Amino acid sequence: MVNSVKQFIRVLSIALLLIVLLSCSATKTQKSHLETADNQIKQGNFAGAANTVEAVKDKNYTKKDRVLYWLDMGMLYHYAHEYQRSNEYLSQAEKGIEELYSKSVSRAVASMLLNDNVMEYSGEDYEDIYLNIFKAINYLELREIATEKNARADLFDKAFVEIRRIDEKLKGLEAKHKKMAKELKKSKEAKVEIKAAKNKFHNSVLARYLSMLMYRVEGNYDDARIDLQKISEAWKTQSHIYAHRQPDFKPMLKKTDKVRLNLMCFTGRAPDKKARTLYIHTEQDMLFFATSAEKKNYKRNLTSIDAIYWKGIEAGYHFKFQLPVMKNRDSKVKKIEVLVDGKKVQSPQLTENIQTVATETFKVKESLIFFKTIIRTVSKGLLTKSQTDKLNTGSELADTLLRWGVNAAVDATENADLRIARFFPAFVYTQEMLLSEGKHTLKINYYSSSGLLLFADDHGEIEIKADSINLRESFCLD
Amino acid sequence: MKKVLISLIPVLILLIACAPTQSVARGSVDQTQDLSGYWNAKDIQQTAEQIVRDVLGKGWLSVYKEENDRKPRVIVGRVRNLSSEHLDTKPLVSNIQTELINSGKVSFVASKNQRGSVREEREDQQYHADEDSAKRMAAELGADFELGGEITTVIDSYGGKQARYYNVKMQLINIETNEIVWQGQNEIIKFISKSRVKW
Repeated sequence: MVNSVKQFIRVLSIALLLIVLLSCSATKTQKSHLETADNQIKQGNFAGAANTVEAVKDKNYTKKDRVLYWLDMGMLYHYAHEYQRSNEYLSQAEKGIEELYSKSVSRAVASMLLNDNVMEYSGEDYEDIYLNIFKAINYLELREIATEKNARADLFDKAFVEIRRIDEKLKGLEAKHKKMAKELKKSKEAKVEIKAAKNKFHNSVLARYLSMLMYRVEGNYDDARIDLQKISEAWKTQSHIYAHRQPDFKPMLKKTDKVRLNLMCFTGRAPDKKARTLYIHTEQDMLFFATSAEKKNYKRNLTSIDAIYWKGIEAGYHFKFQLPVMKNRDSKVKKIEVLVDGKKVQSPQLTENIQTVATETFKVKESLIFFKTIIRTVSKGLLTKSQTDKLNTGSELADTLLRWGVNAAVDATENADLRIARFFPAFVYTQEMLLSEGKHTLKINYYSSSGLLLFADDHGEIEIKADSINLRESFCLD
Repeated sequence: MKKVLISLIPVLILLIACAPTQSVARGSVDQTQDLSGYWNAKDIQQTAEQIVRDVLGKGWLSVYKEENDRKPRVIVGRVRNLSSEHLDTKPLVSNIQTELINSGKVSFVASKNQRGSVREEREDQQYHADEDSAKRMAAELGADFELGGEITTVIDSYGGKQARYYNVKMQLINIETNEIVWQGQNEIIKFISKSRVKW
C-alpha cells in the first residue's frame, strides 16, 4: 500500500513537472513582438515604436521583465524627445536594477530548477551605465526648455548627479562580480574554481565628454580640463574598447567669441544576445563539452573548459544546455554628413563604441553564467535521472514514454537567457561647431558604405544661445 | 518518499502565487529608520539641527548685533546638490529656515522665488485696495546675508557593502561685501550591507 502511494506521488510529481516545464513560457526569452517596433525605429518613428511596445506590455513583458520594459520605454521616449517620460522610465529601471541586486529567494530556487529566464531581469552592466548617460542628456534637454532660472539650475545639477553615478557604478563593477563568483563558489554544488573575469572598463569617454561640456558651460575650466585628460587616458588604458582614432577635443576648451553647437549622432543598435547550444558528456570525475556550432569562437571565449574536473560525477551521462552570447548588430551607417545653413561642415567623429562596451562588460560575468549553467544542468540532470530510474507504473511502455517526456522537457528548460534591452545605440559620434549666436539650419545625412542615403535628419531652424549648452542629438539606429 | 516530496517543492514554489499585502504605520521623524541607506528625513533633521546650532553659536551674530543694533536679515540662496544621489535640498533649507526664524535671533526676507507673487499682490493693492490698507511700494527690507551651500557625497563600495558619506556645507555671505561670515558643515556616514541570496 505504502509503495503504491509512493509510486502515485512520484508519477504525479513528474506529471506536474512536465506540465509546468512545457507550459511555462517564462523559461524562454520572447522577442518576436519587437519586430514592428524595430521597423518603426528604422523609419525614425520612435513615438510609434513606444506605442507598439506599450501595446504589447501585458503580453510580452511579465513582472520579471519589468526592468527590460522600463529600459526599452525609457530609450524610445528619449529618441522621441519626451525627456520627462524617458527619465521616469529610466529611473524606474535604475531602481529596479539596484533592488534586484539582492535577488528573491523564490526566483533563485526556480532558476536552479529551470533556467535564468525565470529570474527577474536585473539588467546588463552596460545598460546600467548608459541609462545614466541618457538621463543626463534628458535633464540637459529639459533645462533647455525650462524658462525659470532656478528650475534650469536644478536640472543642470540633476544632469551632473547622473554623470557622478556613472563613475560610482564603474568603480563598483568589478567588486560586484567578484562577490557573485565568491557566492557561487560557496555553493555545495560547485565542484570547481569559479572566478569572474577582470573588469576592463573603468572610464567612459562619453560620460567624460558630457561632463566636460557641463563644466565648460559653468565656466569651470579646471574641472573641464580634468575630464579632457581622463578622455585621453581612456584611449591609453582601455585600448581594447577605444580602438578607434581619438578625436581631437582640445579645441573645445579654447576660448572663443563664437557660440558652440555640440552635435551627438547615435547610430546602430547595441548587441543582441543569441543562444549557443552545448552538450556535456561525463566520464568519471570529468565533464567534457562539445558545441554544435561556432567552435572556434566558443573556444576563444572559454578556452580552459573543454573538459573540466568535476568531483563525484559518474561516467555515461549526457546533458544539453545553452549559453547566451553577445552578437553585434553594428550599423549600416558608414558616413555622416552635417550641413549647417546648407553648407557642409566637419563630420562627427566616433567617440563611444557602446557595442564594444556591452561585449566587454558582459565578458566579466560570462564565466559565471557558464559555471552557474553547468552546475544547474548537471544537478538537474542527475535529479531527473534518479527519479525516472525509479519509475514503475506497471507498464513498460508508459514508463519509457514518461522517461522520454521528462528528459525532453528538462532539455527544453535549458534555454539561454537572451533578454537584453533592445533600443540602446551601438555608436556615438560627436562634433563641435563654432557658430554665431542666433538661428541656423541643421541637417544630418546618414550614408551606407555604398554611398546610399539611409536617413536625412532635418532639424530645420535651430536657435543657438550664448548661455546654453547647445547640445543637439540625431539618431539613425539602422 | 522524502526525496519525492523534496522534488515536489520547486514545483509548488512555481505554482503558488503570493498575494500582495500593504500596511501603513505612522511615526515621527525621530523614529525614521534607514531603509535604503539613502538620504532621508532623519538626515535632514539631524543636519538642520547641527547647522542651526552652529550658525547661532558662532561669533558673527553677536558682532552684527553690536554693530547694527538689530537682528540680521537673511535670504535663502541656493543649496546645490553635488552628490551622486537625486536628493531634494528644499526640505533641508526649509527646516533650517524654520529653526532660525523660531530662534528669534535671525529674520528672513522672501527669497527670489517668493518675491514675485508678493510684488504682484502689492502692485495690485495700489489699484484695488483702499489707501489706508494698501501697502507701500519700495519699502521692502533688503537682506544682509545670503544662506547657501552644497551637499556632496563620497561612496565606497565593495560587493554588497557600501559606505555612504554625506557632507553638507553651508555658508552665510554678506551681500554687500561678499564676505563669508560663517561656514559650517555636517557629516553623515552610513554603512550599508546588502544581503545576497546564495545560489
